[in-house]
Amino acid sequence: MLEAQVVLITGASRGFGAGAARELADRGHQVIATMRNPDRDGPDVVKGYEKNIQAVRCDVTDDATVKSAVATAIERHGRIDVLVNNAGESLICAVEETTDEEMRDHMDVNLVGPVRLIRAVVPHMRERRSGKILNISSMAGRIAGPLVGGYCATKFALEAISEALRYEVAPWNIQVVLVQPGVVRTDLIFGGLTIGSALKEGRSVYQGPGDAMIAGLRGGADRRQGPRTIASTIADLVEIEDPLPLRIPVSDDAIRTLNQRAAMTDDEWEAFISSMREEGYPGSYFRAVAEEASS
Amino acid sequence: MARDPKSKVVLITGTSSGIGADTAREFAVRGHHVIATMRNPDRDGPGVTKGFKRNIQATRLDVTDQASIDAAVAFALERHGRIDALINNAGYTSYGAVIEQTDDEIQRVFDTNLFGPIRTMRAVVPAMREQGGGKIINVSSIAARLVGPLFGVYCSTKIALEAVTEAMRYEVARWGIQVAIVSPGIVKTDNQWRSFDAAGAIREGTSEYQEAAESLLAEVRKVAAGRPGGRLNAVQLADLIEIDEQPLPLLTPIGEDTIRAFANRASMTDDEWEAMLWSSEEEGYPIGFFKMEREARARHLSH
Repeated sequence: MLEAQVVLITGASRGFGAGAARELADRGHQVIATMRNPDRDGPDVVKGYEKNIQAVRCDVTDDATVKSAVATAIERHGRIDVLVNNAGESLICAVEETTDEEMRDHMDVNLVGPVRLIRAVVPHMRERRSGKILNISSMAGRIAGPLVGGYCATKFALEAISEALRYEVAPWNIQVVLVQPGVVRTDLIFGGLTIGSALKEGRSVYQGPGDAMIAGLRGGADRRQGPRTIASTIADLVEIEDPLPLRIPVSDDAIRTLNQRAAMTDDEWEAFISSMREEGYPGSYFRAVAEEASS
Repeated sequence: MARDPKSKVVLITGTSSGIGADTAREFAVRGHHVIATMRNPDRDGPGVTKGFKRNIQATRLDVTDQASIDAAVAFALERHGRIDALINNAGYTSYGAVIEQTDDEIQRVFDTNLFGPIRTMRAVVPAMREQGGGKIINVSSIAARLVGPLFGVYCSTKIALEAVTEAMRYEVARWGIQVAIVSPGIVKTDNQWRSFDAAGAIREGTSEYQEAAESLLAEVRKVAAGRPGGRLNAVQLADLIEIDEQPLPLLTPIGEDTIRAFANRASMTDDEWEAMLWSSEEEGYPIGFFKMEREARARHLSH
Protein backbone atom coordinates (compact mmCIF):
# COMPACT_ATOMS: atom_id res chain seq x y z
CA MET A 1 0.00 0.00 0.00
CA LEU A 2 1.34 3.36 -1.05
CA GLU A 3 2.09 5.64 1.89
CA ALA A 4 0.83 9.21 2.01
CA GLN A 5 2.80 11.28 -0.48
CA VAL A 6 4.16 14.77 0.06
CA VAL A 7 3.27 16.84 -2.99
CA LEU A 8 4.28 20.41 -3.79
CA ILE A 9 2.01 22.08 -6.35
CA THR A 10 2.56 25.49 -7.89
CA GLY A 11 -0.28 27.67 -9.07
CA ALA A 12 -2.64 26.05 -6.59
CA SER A 13 -4.87 29.06 -6.05
CA ARG A 14 -7.37 27.93 -8.71
CA GLY A 15 -8.01 25.69 -11.70
CA PHE A 16 -6.11 22.43 -12.04
CA GLY A 17 -3.75 23.32 -9.22
CA ALA A 18 -6.46 23.90 -6.62
CA GLY A 19 -8.39 20.90 -7.92
CA ALA A 20 -5.36 18.62 -7.69
CA ALA A 21 -4.52 19.90 -4.19
CA ARG A 22 -8.00 19.07 -2.94
CA GLU A 23 -8.21 15.74 -4.74
CA LEU A 24 -4.86 14.66 -3.28
CA ALA A 25 -5.90 15.83 0.19
CA ASP A 26 -9.11 13.86 -0.16
CA ARG A 27 -7.03 10.77 -0.89
CA GLY A 28 -4.99 11.31 2.27
CA HIS A 29 -1.85 12.89 0.85
CA GLN A 30 0.00 15.95 2.18
CA VAL A 31 -0.03 18.97 -0.10
CA ILE A 32 2.08 22.10 -0.12
CA ALA A 33 -0.22 24.26 -2.21
CA THR A 34 1.84 27.18 -3.41
CA MET A 35 0.46 30.42 -4.80
CA ARG A 36 1.45 34.04 -5.10
CA ASN A 37 -1.03 35.29 -2.56
CA PRO A 38 -1.89 32.67 0.06
CA ASP A 39 -3.52 35.20 2.38
CA ARG A 40 -6.10 36.02 -0.26
CA ASP A 41 -6.44 32.71 -2.13
CA GLY A 42 -5.34 30.10 0.41
CA PRO A 43 -8.42 29.76 2.61
CA ASP A 44 -10.72 28.57 -0.21
CA VAL A 45 -8.26 25.90 -1.28
CA VAL A 46 -7.47 24.68 2.23
CA LYS A 47 -11.06 24.74 3.51
CA GLY A 48 -12.12 21.34 4.83
CA TYR A 49 -8.61 19.94 4.40
CA GLU A 50 -6.73 21.90 7.03
CA LYS A 51 -4.74 18.83 8.09
CA ASN A 52 -3.65 17.93 4.56
CA ILE A 53 -3.15 21.18 2.67
CA GLN A 54 -0.82 23.98 3.57
CA ALA A 55 -1.07 27.15 1.48
CA VAL A 56 2.43 28.57 1.01
CA ARG A 57 3.63 31.64 -0.81
CA CYS A 58 5.61 31.05 -3.97
CA ASP A 59 5.95 33.18 -7.05
CA VAL A 60 7.63 31.04 -9.70
CA THR A 61 9.33 34.12 -11.14
CA ASP A 62 11.01 34.87 -7.80
CA ASP A 63 13.74 32.41 -6.92
CA ALA A 64 13.82 33.40 -3.24
CA THR A 65 10.16 32.47 -2.76
CA VAL A 66 10.72 29.20 -4.64
CA LYS A 67 13.55 28.27 -2.29
CA SER A 68 11.62 29.22 0.81
CA ALA A 69 8.53 27.25 -0.28
CA VAL A 70 10.66 24.15 -0.87
CA ALA A 71 12.35 24.70 2.50
CA THR A 72 8.96 24.97 4.20
CA ALA A 73 7.84 21.69 2.69
CA ILE A 74 10.99 19.86 3.73
CA GLU A 75 10.96 21.34 7.18
CA ARG A 76 7.39 20.28 7.71
CA HIS A 77 7.41 16.81 6.12
CA GLY A 78 11.08 15.92 5.81
CA ARG A 79 10.73 15.31 2.10
CA ILE A 80 8.98 16.11 -1.19
CA ASP A 81 7.83 13.03 -3.07
CA VAL A 82 6.24 14.80 -5.98
CA LEU A 83 6.59 18.24 -7.56
CA VAL A 84 3.71 19.40 -9.73
CA ASN A 85 4.74 22.35 -11.90
CA ASN A 86 1.32 23.68 -12.67
CA ALA A 87 1.61 27.47 -12.48
CA GLY A 88 1.32 29.02 -15.89
CA GLU A 89 -0.41 31.63 -17.98
CA SER A 90 -1.78 31.87 -21.51
CA LEU A 91 -0.78 34.74 -23.76
CA ILE A 92 -3.03 35.55 -26.69
CA CYS A 93 -1.05 37.60 -29.17
CA ALA A 94 -0.02 37.57 -32.82
CA VAL A 95 3.62 36.61 -33.23
CA GLU A 96 4.60 39.83 -35.03
CA GLU A 97 2.91 41.94 -32.34
CA THR A 98 4.46 40.23 -29.32
CA THR A 99 6.91 42.55 -27.60
CA ASP A 100 10.20 41.37 -26.15
CA GLU A 101 8.86 42.11 -22.72
CA GLU A 102 5.66 40.13 -23.24
CA MET A 103 7.62 37.17 -24.57
CA ARG A 104 10.18 37.32 -21.77
CA ASP A 105 7.50 37.53 -19.06
CA HIS A 106 5.65 34.62 -20.59
CA MET A 107 8.75 32.44 -20.77
CA ASP A 108 9.67 33.45 -17.24
CA VAL A 109 6.43 32.04 -15.86
CA ASN A 110 5.84 29.02 -18.10
CA LEU A 111 9.38 27.80 -18.73
CA VAL A 112 11.89 29.29 -16.30
CA GLY A 113 9.37 28.99 -13.45
CA PRO A 114 9.25 25.18 -13.60
CA VAL A 115 13.03 25.10 -14.03
CA ARG A 116 13.47 27.14 -10.83
CA LEU A 117 11.34 24.64 -8.91
CA ILE A 118 13.18 21.71 -10.46
CA ARG A 119 16.53 23.19 -9.48
CA ALA A 120 15.32 23.60 -5.91
CA VAL A 121 13.75 20.17 -5.55
CA VAL A 122 15.99 17.76 -7.47
CA PRO A 123 18.87 17.79 -4.93
CA HIS A 124 16.49 16.54 -2.24
CA MET A 125 15.01 13.92 -4.52
CA ARG A 126 18.48 12.78 -5.54
CA GLU A 127 19.47 12.40 -1.92
CA ARG A 128 16.48 10.14 -1.36
CA ARG A 129 16.94 8.35 -4.71
CA SER A 130 13.28 8.86 -5.39
CA GLY A 131 10.91 11.45 -6.77
CA LYS A 132 8.43 12.45 -9.39
CA ILE A 133 8.13 15.69 -11.31
CA LEU A 134 4.89 16.32 -13.15
CA ASN A 135 5.12 19.25 -15.52
CA ILE A 136 1.77 20.53 -16.69
CA SER A 137 2.18 21.18 -20.37
CA SER A 138 -0.74 21.42 -22.76
CA MET A 139 -2.14 20.05 -25.97
CA ALA A 140 -0.39 23.22 -27.22
CA GLY A 141 2.90 21.59 -26.24
CA ARG A 142 2.63 19.64 -29.50
CA ILE A 143 0.30 21.69 -31.68
CA ALA A 144 0.77 25.33 -32.60
CA GLY A 145 -2.05 27.58 -33.71
CA PRO A 146 -2.60 31.18 -34.73
CA LEU A 147 -2.40 33.87 -32.02
CA VAL A 148 -1.03 31.45 -29.44
CA GLY A 149 2.45 31.16 -30.93
CA GLY A 150 4.14 32.55 -27.82
CA TYR A 151 2.17 30.28 -25.53
CA CYS A 152 2.92 27.26 -27.73
CA ALA A 153 6.59 28.25 -27.71
CA THR A 154 6.68 28.18 -23.90
CA LYS A 155 4.99 24.79 -23.81
CA PHE A 156 7.06 23.28 -26.65
CA ALA A 157 10.13 24.48 -24.79
CA LEU A 158 8.87 23.01 -21.51
CA GLU A 159 8.40 19.68 -23.28
CA ALA A 160 11.95 19.74 -24.63
CA ILE A 161 13.44 20.59 -21.25
CA SER A 162 11.31 17.98 -19.51
CA GLU A 163 12.40 15.24 -21.88
CA ALA A 164 16.06 16.11 -21.46
CA LEU A 165 15.67 16.27 -17.69
CA ARG A 166 13.90 12.90 -17.73
CA TYR A 167 17.03 11.23 -19.08
CA GLU A 168 19.34 13.22 -16.84
CA VAL A 169 17.69 12.36 -13.53
CA ALA A 170 16.50 8.84 -14.33
CA PRO A 171 19.63 7.31 -12.72
CA TRP A 172 18.46 8.63 -9.35
CA ASN A 173 15.01 7.15 -9.74
CA ILE A 174 13.44 10.53 -10.41
CA GLN A 175 10.69 10.44 -13.02
CA VAL A 176 9.79 13.43 -15.16
CA VAL A 177 6.40 13.40 -16.83
CA LEU A 178 4.50 15.80 -19.07
CA VAL A 179 0.77 16.15 -18.57
CA GLN A 180 -1.06 17.58 -21.60
CA PRO A 181 -4.54 18.90 -20.86
CA GLY A 182 -6.81 20.06 -23.66
CA VAL A 183 -9.18 22.98 -23.44
CA VAL A 184 -10.72 22.85 -19.99
CA ARG A 185 -13.38 25.01 -18.39
CA THR A 186 -11.23 26.93 -15.92
CA ASP A 187 -11.23 30.57 -15.01
CA LEU A 188 -7.82 30.89 -16.66
CA ILE A 189 -9.61 30.89 -19.98
CA PHE A 190 -12.43 33.16 -18.85
CA GLY A 191 -10.72 35.70 -16.64
CA GLY A 192 -7.05 34.83 -16.66
CA LEU A 193 -6.04 34.99 -20.30
CA THR A 194 -3.18 37.39 -20.85
CA ILE A 195 -4.20 39.37 -23.90
CA GLY A 196 -1.31 40.90 -25.80
CA SER A 197 -1.14 44.69 -25.68
CA ALA A 198 -1.97 45.21 -29.37
CA LEU A 199 -5.17 43.15 -29.15
CA LYS A 200 -6.09 44.56 -25.77
CA GLU A 201 -5.77 48.12 -26.97
CA GLY A 202 -7.78 47.40 -30.12
CA ARG A 203 -4.96 48.31 -32.48
CA SER A 204 -4.01 44.87 -33.73
CA VAL A 205 -3.74 44.02 -37.41
CA TYR A 206 -5.45 40.81 -36.34
CA GLN A 207 -8.21 42.51 -34.35
CA GLY A 208 -11.23 40.87 -36.00
CA PRO A 209 -9.90 37.30 -36.02
CA GLY A 210 -8.33 37.91 -32.59
CA ASP A 211 -11.61 38.94 -30.99
CA ALA A 212 -13.38 36.07 -32.76
CA MET A 213 -10.75 33.67 -31.53
CA ILE A 214 -10.97 34.76 -27.91
CA ALA A 215 -14.76 34.49 -28.04
CA GLY A 216 -14.46 31.10 -29.75
CA LEU A 217 -11.99 29.87 -27.16
CA ARG A 218 -14.22 30.95 -24.30
CA GLY A 219 -17.36 29.66 -25.96
CA GLY A 220 -15.61 26.36 -26.61
CA ALA A 221 -14.29 26.12 -23.07
CA ASP A 222 -17.72 26.78 -21.62
CA ARG A 223 -18.86 23.57 -23.27
CA ARG A 224 -15.81 21.62 -22.13
CA GLN A 225 -14.90 19.47 -19.19
CA GLY A 226 -14.16 21.15 -15.90
CA PRO A 227 -10.79 20.80 -14.18
CA ARG A 228 -11.68 17.69 -12.16
CA THR A 229 -10.50 15.19 -14.74
CA ILE A 230 -7.11 16.89 -14.83
CA ALA A 231 -7.03 17.07 -11.03
CA SER A 232 -7.91 13.42 -10.70
CA THR A 233 -5.34 12.42 -13.32
CA ILE A 234 -2.63 14.34 -11.47
CA ALA A 235 -3.63 12.52 -8.27
CA ASP A 236 -3.48 9.17 -10.08
CA LEU A 237 -0.02 9.97 -11.41
CA VAL A 238 1.13 10.83 -7.90
CA GLU A 239 -0.10 7.45 -6.68
CA ILE A 240 1.03 5.16 -9.50
CA GLU A 241 4.16 3.28 -8.53
CA ASP A 242 4.90 1.81 -11.94
CA PRO A 243 7.08 3.74 -14.41
CA LEU A 244 5.13 6.54 -16.07
CA PRO A 245 5.27 7.47 -19.76
CA LEU A 246 6.89 10.72 -20.87
CA ARG A 247 3.67 12.31 -22.12
CA ILE A 248 0.13 11.91 -20.90
CA PRO A 249 -2.66 13.68 -22.77
CA VAL A 250 -5.68 14.34 -20.56
CA SER A 251 -9.29 15.07 -21.43
CA ASP A 252 -10.94 13.68 -24.51
CA ASP A 253 -10.06 16.59 -26.82
CA ALA A 254 -6.35 16.37 -26.09
CA ILE A 255 -6.26 12.60 -26.59
CA ARG A 256 -8.21 12.87 -29.81
CA THR A 257 -6.39 15.85 -31.28
CA LEU A 258 -2.89 14.66 -30.44
CA ASN A 259 -3.72 11.29 -32.00
CA GLN A 260 -4.97 13.01 -35.14
CA ARG A 261 -1.90 15.18 -35.32
CA ALA A 262 0.42 12.21 -34.91
CA ALA A 263 -1.36 10.36 -37.71
CA MET A 264 -1.07 13.22 -40.21
CA THR A 265 1.76 14.70 -42.23
CA ASP A 266 2.40 18.43 -41.80
CA ASP A 267 0.64 19.01 -45.13
CA GLU A 268 -2.44 17.06 -44.11
CA TRP A 269 -2.59 18.81 -40.77
CA GLU A 270 -2.27 22.26 -42.27
CA ALA A 271 -5.02 21.55 -44.79
CA PHE A 272 -7.22 20.18 -42.03
CA ILE A 273 -6.75 23.00 -39.55
CA SER A 274 -6.92 25.78 -42.15
CA SER A 275 -10.24 24.50 -43.42
CA MET A 276 -11.88 24.70 -39.99
CA ARG A 277 -14.81 27.09 -39.91
CA GLU A 278 -16.86 25.89 -36.98
CA GLU A 279 -17.36 27.52 -33.59
CA GLY A 280 -14.57 27.27 -31.06
CA TYR A 281 -10.87 27.64 -31.49
CA PRO A 282 -9.30 27.65 -34.10
CA GLY A 283 -12.44 27.50 -36.29
CA SER A 284 -13.57 30.95 -35.14
CA TYR A 285 -10.23 32.43 -36.11
CA PHE A 286 -10.15 30.91 -39.58
CA ARG A 287 -13.77 31.83 -40.23
CA ALA A 288 -13.11 35.45 -39.27
CA VAL A 289 -10.05 35.51 -41.52
CA ALA A 290 -12.11 34.11 -44.41
CA GLU A 291 -14.85 36.67 -43.82
CA GLU A 292 -12.37 39.54 -43.77
CA ALA A 293 -10.75 38.29 -46.95
CA SER A 294 -14.06 38.10 -48.80
CA SER A 295 -15.30 41.53 -47.73
CA MET B 1 -16.79 30.18 -15.38
CA ALA B 2 -18.66 27.84 -13.09
CA ARG B 3 -21.55 26.27 -14.86
CA ASP B 4 -24.45 24.64 -13.12
CA PRO B 5 -25.23 21.71 -15.38
CA LYS B 6 -28.87 20.86 -15.24
CA SER B 7 -29.57 17.84 -13.21
CA LYS B 8 -29.63 14.61 -15.18
CA VAL B 9 -31.15 11.21 -14.56
CA VAL B 10 -28.53 8.52 -14.99
CA LEU B 11 -29.01 4.77 -14.82
CA ILE B 12 -25.83 2.85 -14.10
CA THR B 13 -25.40 -0.91 -13.95
CA GLY B 14 -22.98 -2.77 -11.72
CA THR B 15 -22.78 -0.11 -9.02
CA SER B 16 -22.29 -2.33 -5.99
CA SER B 17 -18.53 -1.73 -6.05
CA GLY B 18 -15.57 -0.50 -8.08
CA ILE B 19 -15.89 1.97 -10.92
CA GLY B 20 -19.69 1.67 -10.86
CA ALA B 21 -19.95 2.70 -7.20
CA ASP B 22 -17.44 5.53 -7.64
CA THR B 23 -19.36 6.76 -10.69
CA ALA B 24 -22.72 6.72 -8.90
CA ARG B 25 -21.28 8.86 -6.12
CA GLU B 26 -19.54 11.26 -8.51
CA PHE B 27 -22.83 11.96 -10.29
CA ALA B 28 -24.54 12.44 -6.93
CA VAL B 29 -21.86 14.90 -5.76
CA ARG B 30 -22.57 16.92 -8.90
CA GLY B 31 -26.28 17.02 -8.14
CA HIS B 32 -27.54 14.46 -10.63
CA HIS B 33 -30.02 11.69 -9.93
CA VAL B 34 -28.67 8.19 -10.10
CA ILE B 35 -30.51 4.93 -10.45
CA ALA B 36 -27.69 2.79 -9.13
CA THR B 37 -28.49 -0.73 -10.16
CA MET B 38 -27.04 -3.93 -8.76
CA ARG B 39 -28.05 -7.51 -8.28
CA ASN B 40 -28.46 -7.29 -4.52
CA PRO B 41 -29.39 -3.79 -3.34
CA ASP B 42 -30.37 -4.97 0.15
CA ARG B 43 -26.84 -6.16 0.74
CA ASP B 44 -24.77 -3.75 -1.37
CA GLY B 45 -26.97 -0.66 -1.66
CA PRO B 46 -26.36 1.03 1.70
CA GLY B 47 -22.60 1.23 1.14
CA VAL B 48 -23.16 3.11 -2.12
CA THR B 49 -26.03 5.40 -1.17
CA LYS B 50 -24.53 6.43 2.15
CA GLY B 51 -24.46 10.21 2.38
CA PHE B 52 -26.32 10.54 -0.94
CA LYS B 53 -29.75 9.17 -0.12
CA ARG B 54 -31.51 11.97 -1.98
CA ASN B 55 -29.56 11.49 -5.18
CA ILE B 56 -28.86 7.76 -5.41
CA GLN B 57 -31.51 5.06 -5.57
CA ALA B 58 -30.08 1.59 -5.20
CA THR B 59 -32.26 -0.51 -7.47
CA ARG B 60 -32.29 -4.19 -8.25
CA LEU B 61 -31.17 -5.12 -11.76
CA ASP B 62 -29.49 -8.25 -13.03
CA VAL B 63 -28.25 -7.67 -16.58
CA THR B 64 -28.90 -11.32 -17.40
CA ASP B 65 -32.59 -10.98 -16.47
CA GLN B 66 -34.68 -8.89 -18.88
CA ALA B 67 -37.62 -8.67 -16.46
CA SER B 68 -35.42 -7.05 -13.80
CA ILE B 69 -34.08 -4.59 -16.41
CA ASP B 70 -37.59 -3.62 -17.53
CA ALA B 71 -38.61 -3.15 -13.90
CA ALA B 72 -35.60 -0.92 -13.11
CA VAL B 73 -36.17 1.21 -16.22
CA ALA B 74 -39.88 1.49 -15.39
CA PHE B 75 -38.97 2.55 -11.85
CA ALA B 76 -36.58 5.23 -13.12
CA LEU B 77 -39.18 6.60 -15.55
CA GLU B 78 -41.88 6.56 -12.95
CA ARG B 79 -39.75 8.41 -10.46
CA HIS B 80 -38.04 10.94 -12.74
CA GLY B 81 -40.05 10.90 -15.96
CA ARG B 82 -36.92 10.43 -18.06
CA ILE B 83 -33.54 8.74 -18.37
CA ASP B 84 -30.90 11.07 -19.73
CA ALA B 85 -28.06 8.61 -19.66
CA LEU B 86 -27.40 4.92 -19.41
CA ILE B 87 -23.99 3.68 -18.32
CA ASN B 88 -23.44 0.00 -18.96
CA ASN B 89 -20.77 -0.78 -16.43
CA ALA B 90 -21.72 -4.22 -15.12
CA GLY B 91 -19.32 -6.91 -16.23
CA TYR B 92 -16.74 -9.33 -15.03
CA THR B 93 -13.41 -10.72 -16.09
CA SER B 94 -13.17 -14.34 -17.05
CA TYR B 95 -9.79 -16.00 -17.03
CA GLY B 96 -8.57 -19.14 -18.70
CA ALA B 97 -7.11 -20.63 -21.84
CA VAL B 98 -9.46 -20.45 -24.79
CA ILE B 99 -9.60 -24.21 -25.31
CA GLU B 100 -10.03 -24.91 -21.62
CA GLN B 101 -13.15 -22.87 -21.06
CA THR B 102 -16.44 -24.68 -21.27
CA ASP B 103 -19.34 -23.56 -23.42
CA ASP B 104 -21.16 -22.72 -20.23
CA GLU B 105 -18.31 -20.52 -18.94
CA ILE B 106 -18.07 -18.70 -22.25
CA GLN B 107 -21.81 -18.25 -22.57
CA ARG B 108 -22.05 -16.89 -19.03
CA VAL B 109 -19.48 -14.15 -19.53
CA PHE B 110 -21.03 -13.16 -22.88
CA ASP B 111 -24.44 -13.13 -21.22
CA THR B 112 -23.24 -10.48 -18.75
CA ASN B 113 -20.68 -8.50 -20.75
CA LEU B 114 -22.34 -8.37 -24.18
CA PHE B 115 -25.98 -9.42 -23.95
CA GLY B 116 -26.38 -7.45 -20.70
CA PRO B 117 -25.68 -4.04 -22.31
CA ILE B 118 -27.78 -4.99 -25.35
CA ARG B 119 -30.72 -5.77 -23.06
CA THR B 120 -30.46 -2.49 -21.17
CA MET B 121 -30.08 -0.50 -24.40
CA ARG B 122 -33.17 -2.17 -25.80
CA ALA B 123 -35.03 -1.15 -22.67
CA VAL B 124 -34.00 2.53 -22.56
CA VAL B 125 -33.88 3.48 -26.24
CA PRO B 126 -37.70 3.81 -26.61
CA ALA B 127 -37.81 6.25 -23.68
CA MET B 128 -34.81 8.21 -25.01
CA ARG B 129 -36.36 8.35 -28.47
CA GLU B 130 -39.56 9.71 -27.02
CA GLN B 131 -37.82 12.34 -24.90
CA GLY B 132 -35.78 13.50 -27.88
CA GLY B 133 -32.35 12.16 -27.04
CA GLY B 134 -30.03 10.62 -24.54
CA LYS B 135 -26.57 9.24 -23.99
CA ILE B 136 -25.42 5.68 -23.65
CA ILE B 137 -21.89 4.88 -22.57
CA ASN B 138 -20.69 1.32 -22.60
CA VAL B 139 -17.74 0.52 -20.40
CA SER B 140 -15.28 -1.54 -22.38
CA SER B 141 -11.72 -2.23 -21.30
CA ILE B 142 -8.09 -1.80 -22.26
CA ALA B 143 -8.39 -5.53 -22.99
CA ALA B 144 -10.71 -4.97 -25.95
CA ARG B 145 -7.83 -3.77 -28.09
CA LEU B 146 -4.96 -5.48 -26.32
CA VAL B 147 -5.67 -9.15 -26.55
CA GLY B 148 -3.62 -11.23 -24.17
CA PRO B 149 -3.21 -14.90 -23.45
CA LEU B 150 -5.64 -16.43 -20.94
CA PHE B 151 -7.90 -13.40 -21.34
CA GLY B 152 -9.08 -14.32 -24.85
CA VAL B 153 -12.72 -14.89 -23.99
CA TYR B 154 -12.95 -11.77 -21.85
CA CYS B 155 -11.26 -9.71 -24.58
CA SER B 156 -13.72 -11.11 -27.11
CA THR B 157 -16.71 -10.00 -25.01
CA LYS B 158 -15.32 -6.48 -24.89
CA ILE B 159 -14.34 -6.14 -28.55
CA ALA B 160 -17.77 -7.55 -29.42
CA LEU B 161 -19.32 -4.90 -27.17
CA GLU B 162 -17.34 -2.25 -29.04
CA ALA B 163 -18.63 -3.52 -32.39
CA VAL B 164 -22.21 -3.46 -31.17
CA THR B 165 -21.73 -0.01 -29.66
CA GLU B 166 -20.36 1.46 -32.87
CA ALA B 167 -23.19 0.03 -34.95
CA MET B 168 -25.78 1.30 -32.45
CA ARG B 169 -24.17 4.73 -32.58
CA TYR B 170 -25.03 5.05 -36.26
CA GLU B 171 -28.45 3.47 -35.86
CA VAL B 172 -29.83 5.71 -33.12
CA ALA B 173 -28.13 9.00 -34.04
CA ARG B 174 -31.29 9.98 -35.96
CA TRP B 175 -33.13 10.27 -32.63
CA GLY B 176 -30.47 12.37 -30.95
CA ILE B 177 -29.17 9.43 -28.97
CA GLN B 178 -25.39 9.30 -28.64
CA VAL B 179 -23.67 6.00 -28.02
CA ALA B 180 -20.03 5.76 -26.98
CA ILE B 181 -17.37 3.58 -25.45
CA VAL B 182 -14.98 4.27 -22.60
CA SER B 183 -11.99 2.03 -21.99
CA PRO B 184 -10.61 1.95 -18.47
CA GLY B 185 -7.25 0.40 -17.77
CA ILE B 186 -6.41 -1.62 -14.70
CA VAL B 187 -7.96 -0.14 -11.60
CA LYS B 188 -7.55 -1.04 -7.97
CA THR B 189 -10.90 -1.60 -6.33
CA ASP B 190 -11.74 -2.55 -2.77
CA ASN B 191 -12.89 -6.00 -3.66
CA GLN B 192 -10.59 -6.27 -6.57
CA TRP B 193 -11.24 -9.77 -7.63
CA ARG B 194 -14.76 -10.41 -6.51
CA SER B 195 -15.79 -10.07 -10.12
CA PHE B 196 -12.87 -12.12 -11.35
CA ASP B 197 -13.84 -15.55 -12.57
CA ALA B 198 -11.13 -18.13 -13.23
CA ALA B 199 -12.06 -21.06 -15.42
CA GLY B 200 -12.79 -24.35 -13.70
CA ALA B 201 -9.62 -25.90 -15.08
CA ILE B 202 -7.45 -23.28 -13.35
CA ARG B 203 -9.43 -23.31 -10.10
CA GLU B 204 -9.16 -27.09 -9.94
CA GLY B 205 -5.47 -27.05 -10.78
CA THR B 206 -5.89 -29.23 -13.87
CA SER B 207 -4.99 -26.65 -16.52
CA GLU B 208 -2.24 -27.36 -19.04
CA TYR B 209 -1.26 -23.76 -18.34
CA GLN B 210 -1.41 -24.04 -14.57
CA GLU B 211 2.00 -22.61 -13.79
CA ALA B 212 1.79 -19.82 -16.36
CA ALA B 213 -1.78 -19.06 -15.32
CA GLU B 214 -0.91 -18.70 -11.67
CA SER B 215 2.14 -16.62 -12.39
CA LEU B 216 0.23 -14.36 -14.80
CA LEU B 217 -2.57 -13.93 -12.30
CA ALA B 218 -0.08 -12.98 -9.60
CA GLU B 219 1.41 -10.43 -11.98
CA VAL B 220 -1.96 -8.90 -12.80
CA ARG B 221 -2.82 -8.68 -9.12
CA LYS B 222 0.48 -7.03 -8.38
CA VAL B 223 -0.05 -4.51 -11.14
CA ALA B 224 -3.60 -3.83 -9.98
CA ALA B 225 -2.53 -3.34 -6.38
CA GLY B 226 -0.24 -0.52 -7.46
CA ARG B 227 -2.88 1.20 -9.57
CA PRO B 228 -5.08 4.10 -8.50
CA GLY B 229 -8.72 3.48 -7.71
CA GLY B 230 -11.61 4.19 -10.05
CA ARG B 231 -12.14 7.87 -9.34
CA LEU B 232 -10.66 9.14 -12.57
CA ASN B 233 -13.03 6.86 -14.46
CA ALA B 234 -15.93 8.20 -12.43
CA VAL B 235 -14.97 11.82 -13.07
CA GLN B 236 -14.44 11.22 -16.79
CA LEU B 237 -17.79 9.45 -17.14
CA ALA B 238 -19.56 12.28 -15.35
CA ASP B 239 -17.82 14.82 -17.60
CA LEU B 240 -18.82 12.94 -20.75
CA ILE B 241 -22.44 12.86 -19.65
CA GLU B 242 -22.44 16.53 -18.61
CA ILE B 243 -20.89 17.88 -21.83
CA ASP B 244 -23.99 18.35 -23.94
CA GLU B 245 -22.83 20.76 -26.56
CA GLN B 246 -20.15 18.62 -28.14
CA PRO B 247 -20.66 15.19 -29.62
CA LEU B 248 -19.33 12.27 -27.60
CA PRO B 249 -16.25 10.75 -29.20
CA LEU B 250 -16.73 7.12 -30.17
CA LEU B 251 -13.96 5.93 -27.87
CA THR B 252 -12.42 7.55 -24.81
CA PRO B 253 -9.52 5.69 -23.23
CA ILE B 254 -9.21 6.49 -19.52
CA GLY B 255 -6.03 6.42 -17.51
CA GLU B 256 -2.45 6.81 -18.58
CA ASP B 257 -2.02 3.05 -18.98
CA THR B 258 -4.79 2.76 -21.57
CA ILE B 259 -3.85 5.92 -23.44
CA ARG B 260 -0.26 4.78 -23.68
CA ALA B 261 -1.05 1.18 -24.57
CA PHE B 262 -3.51 2.14 -27.32
CA ALA B 263 -1.05 4.60 -28.82
CA ASN B 264 1.73 2.00 -28.77
CA ARG B 265 -0.46 -0.70 -30.24
CA ALA B 266 -1.84 1.62 -32.93
CA SER B 267 1.64 2.61 -34.07
CA MET B 268 2.81 -0.99 -34.53
CA THR B 269 2.01 -3.57 -37.14
CA ASP B 270 0.65 -6.88 -35.86
CA ASP B 271 4.04 -8.44 -36.58
CA GLU B 272 5.91 -5.81 -34.59
CA TRP B 273 3.50 -6.12 -31.71
CA GLU B 274 3.77 -9.89 -31.55
CA ALA B 275 7.55 -9.80 -31.87
CA MET B 276 7.66 -7.35 -28.97
CA LEU B 277 5.56 -9.63 -26.77
CA TRP B 278 7.55 -12.76 -27.55
CA SER B 279 10.98 -11.24 -27.29
CA SER B 280 10.73 -9.28 -24.06
CA GLU B 281 13.00 -10.31 -21.25
CA GLU B 282 11.19 -8.24 -18.68
CA GLU B 283 9.00 -9.54 -15.95
CA GLY B 284 5.53 -8.17 -15.56
CA TYR B 285 2.15 -8.63 -17.08
CA PRO B 286 1.80 -10.15 -19.62
CA ILE B 287 5.47 -10.40 -20.54
CA GLY B 288 6.25 -13.04 -17.95
CA PHE B 289 3.78 -15.34 -19.65
CA PHE B 290 5.57 -15.09 -22.98
CA LYS B 291 8.90 -15.79 -21.35
CA MET B 292 7.53 -18.94 -19.75
CA GLU B 293 5.86 -20.06 -22.97
CA ARG B 294 9.07 -19.51 -24.89
CA GLU B 295 10.84 -21.80 -22.46
CA ALA B 296 8.00 -24.32 -22.68
CA ARG B 297 8.27 -24.32 -26.45
CA ALA B 298 12.03 -24.85 -26.31
CA ARG B 299 11.51 -27.82 -24.00
CA HIS B 300 8.86 -29.21 -26.34
CA LEU B 301 11.15 -28.93 -29.37
CA SER B 302 14.08 -30.58 -27.61
CA HIS B 303 12.02 -33.72 -26.93
